[in-house]
Formats: sequence, structure tokens, C-alpha cells
Amino acid sequence: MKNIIITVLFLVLASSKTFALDQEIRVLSVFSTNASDPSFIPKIVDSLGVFADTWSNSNVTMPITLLNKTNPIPLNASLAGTSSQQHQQAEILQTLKALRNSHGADLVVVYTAGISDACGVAPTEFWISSSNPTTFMAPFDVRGAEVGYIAIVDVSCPEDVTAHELGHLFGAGHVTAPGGSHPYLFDDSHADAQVFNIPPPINILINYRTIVSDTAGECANQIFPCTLQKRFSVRPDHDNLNTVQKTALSVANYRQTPIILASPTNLWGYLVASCSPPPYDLHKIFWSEGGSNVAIDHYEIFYSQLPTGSYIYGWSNSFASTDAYVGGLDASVKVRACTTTLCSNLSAGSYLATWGCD
Amino acid sequence: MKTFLNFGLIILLTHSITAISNDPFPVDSESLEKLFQPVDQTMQDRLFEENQFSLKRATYFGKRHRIVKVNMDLLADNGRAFVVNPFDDIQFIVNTAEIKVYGGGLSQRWVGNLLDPRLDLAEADIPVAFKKQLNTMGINISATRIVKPAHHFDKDTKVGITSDPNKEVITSKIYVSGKFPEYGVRYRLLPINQSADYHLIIELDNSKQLMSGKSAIAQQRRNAHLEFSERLNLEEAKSKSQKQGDLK
Repeated sequence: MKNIIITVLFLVLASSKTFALDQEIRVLSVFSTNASDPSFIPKIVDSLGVFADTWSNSNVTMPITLLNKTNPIPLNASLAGTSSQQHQQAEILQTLKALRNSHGADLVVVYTAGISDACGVAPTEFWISSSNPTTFMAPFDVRGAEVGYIAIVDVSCPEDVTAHELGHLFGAGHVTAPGGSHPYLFDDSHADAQVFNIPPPINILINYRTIVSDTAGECANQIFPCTLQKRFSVRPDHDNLNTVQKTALSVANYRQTPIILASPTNLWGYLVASCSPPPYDLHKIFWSEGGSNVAIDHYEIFYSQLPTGSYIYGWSNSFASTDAYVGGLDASVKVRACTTTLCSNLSAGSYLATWGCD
Repeated sequence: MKTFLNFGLIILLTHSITAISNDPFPVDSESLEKLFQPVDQTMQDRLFEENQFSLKRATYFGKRHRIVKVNMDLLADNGRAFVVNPFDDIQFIVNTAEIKVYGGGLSQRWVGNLLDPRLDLAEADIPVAFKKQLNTMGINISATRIVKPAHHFDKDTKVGITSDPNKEVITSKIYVSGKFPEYGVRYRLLPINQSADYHLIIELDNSKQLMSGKSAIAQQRRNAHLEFSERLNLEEAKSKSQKQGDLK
């Protein structure tokens, strides 16, 4: 009966013009001062990539956006102590709260260093409770919005820890030992770790685990380490994906995406002058605003100078056009629209600024 | 259980050759281009000196490491076979399976097929996705942003873009990173510094990998790493203070 009332209330709210259901999960990544060594940045980027791969490989039907996948934000604060102590310190940081709110982030990953007792931590009490294992308030449960959104990850640990801790924030649990209890959101919401001992003529032993299993506790043979599968487990009695899929809508609504911030469109341009000044070719590039429902504060221009290269930030501009002086190689240019605190995705199309001043 | 797993390890080691060496790839790996190019010792020594603290942090987890240049041209979607050679005695023949693009172009992931050796476990009761994973490897491709004053613009390469040629020029540098396994051994790859001219490859030591949990071995590893980090932080602070003193 209680669930019916909640469902009806949810449907009423969802149909109201004052309530827009959020259908996207936004994850913000930040790092503490004690994790600011430059060598950690590529590792943080790779770690977020493992989570993106896990989400993609598992086919979770809820889009996820890593808000700053290639440039995590400094938190300008140090964390110290055990995993739970560092989590408590992060929870009360006003800078973290402000960053989360300004980016409309549902979840925040905090990269730190020197956790003395673990590789990471993420609160699970609203999803996983040994005393009351099935407390999910279907179809929409945002009780964890203010206390279950931070994952703490030690940058010195393996790259899969980020996906592991984020998995917990969606209710995914560790492997349950044979005959053990099921203190998880659903009876089968735990990870998978298996050994395949394939008999002759192949003769091979393969030890594998899925993302939320625990290397120390459940895949413990470090002499013969487990091969990690970047996905949530789906075996009938190990169905973490089922849990993640069911909680994804709730997590997406921890923070409402406050505005529609569309990518610019109709990107085009032309060569104004070659070798002006040498060694540059001057191009003029234009675009359309794209259909956002908020005032655009500025546009950010990104470029790439290799045929298969990644785009990097170039400069910003208040208007929907820019001059671009290109030197050395043809440059592909993309643009994104920004408010004072948020930016859209990069434009789908690009402008190829050719270079001919030799 | 532990005995069983150790026994399994022995089986793996004893039979791994027959398990993973099927038909040899019909191309002489010596004739193929190599992804990682050697760097002379003088340059390696200089790079270690200039980046000693970040490199010490990274290599703590390794058994061995080396500094290389990366032939980025090979990470192209053209089907050509080449060799991924983290160390002279470790080589994988691969070709490009796909290049995934993320974030509208902000980063990419190169995925390669392992051509030799290759696990062919058609008869085995192993998930298809897992078999595919065992027969591929991935390397992340990203770009770092370098801003130079206009008068420092590289006259030789002339590469860059700017909105104001009198102020500054923005150049990008592609770097690769990631971790790829070879049946129980893991290699980590990362740029030496922001210029990304050189990369570091580390063969990771499984016995140093940090673990969660309160087991004795997990706590021992964490304590050893914490002690190392604290000692290195002190050394770094001392070095910075020394340099500042030198500047006065």
C-alpha cells in the first residue's frame, strides 16, 4: 500500500510542470591537495575511463556524463586518515558542496592519497542494510542524495577502484561467500568472481572477477591475480546490473539538471587571409547558439591538430564567432556553450581550418 | 582452497604455452614496427633527475621500468600489424581493432587485437566477453594543453593555434596512458611530464599492489606505502626549500 501511494505521488509529481524528471547521471571528479602530483592526472583520467567502460559494457540504460573526465578539479583541501575519516572530512567541505551544486552533479568522486585502511570508500547505507536488505522505495528513492553521493578513491590504488566505489553508490555489493548472508539491496545484488579450471586438452586456470568484487576479500590469491572484467555482474545469482539499473533513475535525480544547455550547432567558417601574419593563416569561425534555455555567458573554443587527435581547450569568447590563427597543420575546431558555472558538450560538428602558409 | 589455487597456478604455468600458443602469427615480429622506441641513457638520466619525485611515486609499484618514446602513428585505424613492446623480452603483435572516441573528441581509447599469442577457447565454458577481453588490449589516448608566449612560438614546427598572434600560442601534445595485462602480469604506461615527449612503462609488482580490507597483508602493504610516501614528501619539500634558497 505504501509503495502504491509513493508511486502515485511520484507520477503526480512527474506530470506536474514544476517537476522535470532527470534522465541523466552527472559525475564530477575532484582531487585533494595531497593527490595533486602531476603523475596522478593521467591515472585519474584512466580510472574514470574504466568506469565509463564498465557502464558501457554493462549496457545500463541511463546516460552518464563524466563532467570533467580529462581535467579533474582541485579541491584545494587535504584529506587524511582512514577511509571513513577522509569521507567525513570530504562531506563537510563547503568547496565540495559548492562545486557539486554549481555543476549539477549527482555524484562526486574525490581522489585522495594516503588512505590508511582501504583503497576507497562509498556509503551504502540507503541501498545495503543487513537489518533491512530491501529498502528501495520503488521507483524513485533519493534519500541518499545528501549523504550517499561521495566516493573516496586513493590515487595510489589500481584504476578499477573508481568504478568499484561508484558501483556501491548505485547499490552494487561485493561477492557473497558461499552460504553467506545477503545484506544487499536485493538478494542477488552482488558481484561475481570465478575460477574456470578447464580440463585437457586446453589445461588452463582462469580466475576472473567483475567490477564490484573485492580483490582483498574475494579474489584473494595475489600469487595468481584475478583478471578484471569491466562490467557489473549478471549471473542469475550475482546480478549487480539489475540493482544498478533499478537505482540509476534515483541517482540521476539526486541533483536535478537545472537547465538545458545545448551544444552549439551550424559550425562553419572561411579562410580570411593566408600568411597573415606568417606563419599563420587567419580563419573566421561562426556557430549557432544551439537552443539552450539559459543565458550563455561565453563559448569555449577547442581544437585538435592531428587527424585522430583529441581536442583541447583553446580560448573563450563572448560571441558566437571567433578569429582563429592557425599555424603548422590543419586544425579541427569545435565549440561548447557555457553559463558562468556549467558548459555544454562539444559541438557534434567541427570546422576544419586548413593551413597553407609554408 | 589456497592449496587448490596454488595447484591451479602450477597447472597454468606448466601448460600456459600450450594454452595460449596456437597457430603462430605468420609474420616475423622483427620486421614489424615497434610502438615503444628506446631512449639513450643520458636522456633517461636527465629525465629522472628533472622528474624524480613523480617518477619515484609511480615506480614504487613496479618490478622494473623504462623510459621510451612512443610511435603514435601506429595507433591508427589502418589494420596494419605492429609490436607493442613494453620491454625487450615482452612483445605483443597487434593490430587496431577500433578507436573509441569519448566526450565528443576529448579523449580516445585505442583497442588492439592480440594476434600472437592468442587464446582460442572456443570449447571452454567462459563468457564471450571475457574471451574477447583476453584477446585484446587497450591504451588511452589523451591530449595535454601547452601554452607558450607568442615570441616563444616554435619557429621550426610552426604548429599551433591562437586567437591573438601577439599574445600566446596554444599547442597540444598527444599522450598515451593505461594499464594492459599479459596473463597475470600488468604494465602501466604514462607520460613522464606535461610535455609528453617521453613515456614511462612500469611492470607492476603484484606483491606491492595496494588492497582494501583489514587483513595483515593489506595493512602491511598500506603501511609500507604510507611510510614511503611520507618520506618522499619530506624529501620533496626539502628539495623545494633548497631550490628556493638557491634562488635568493
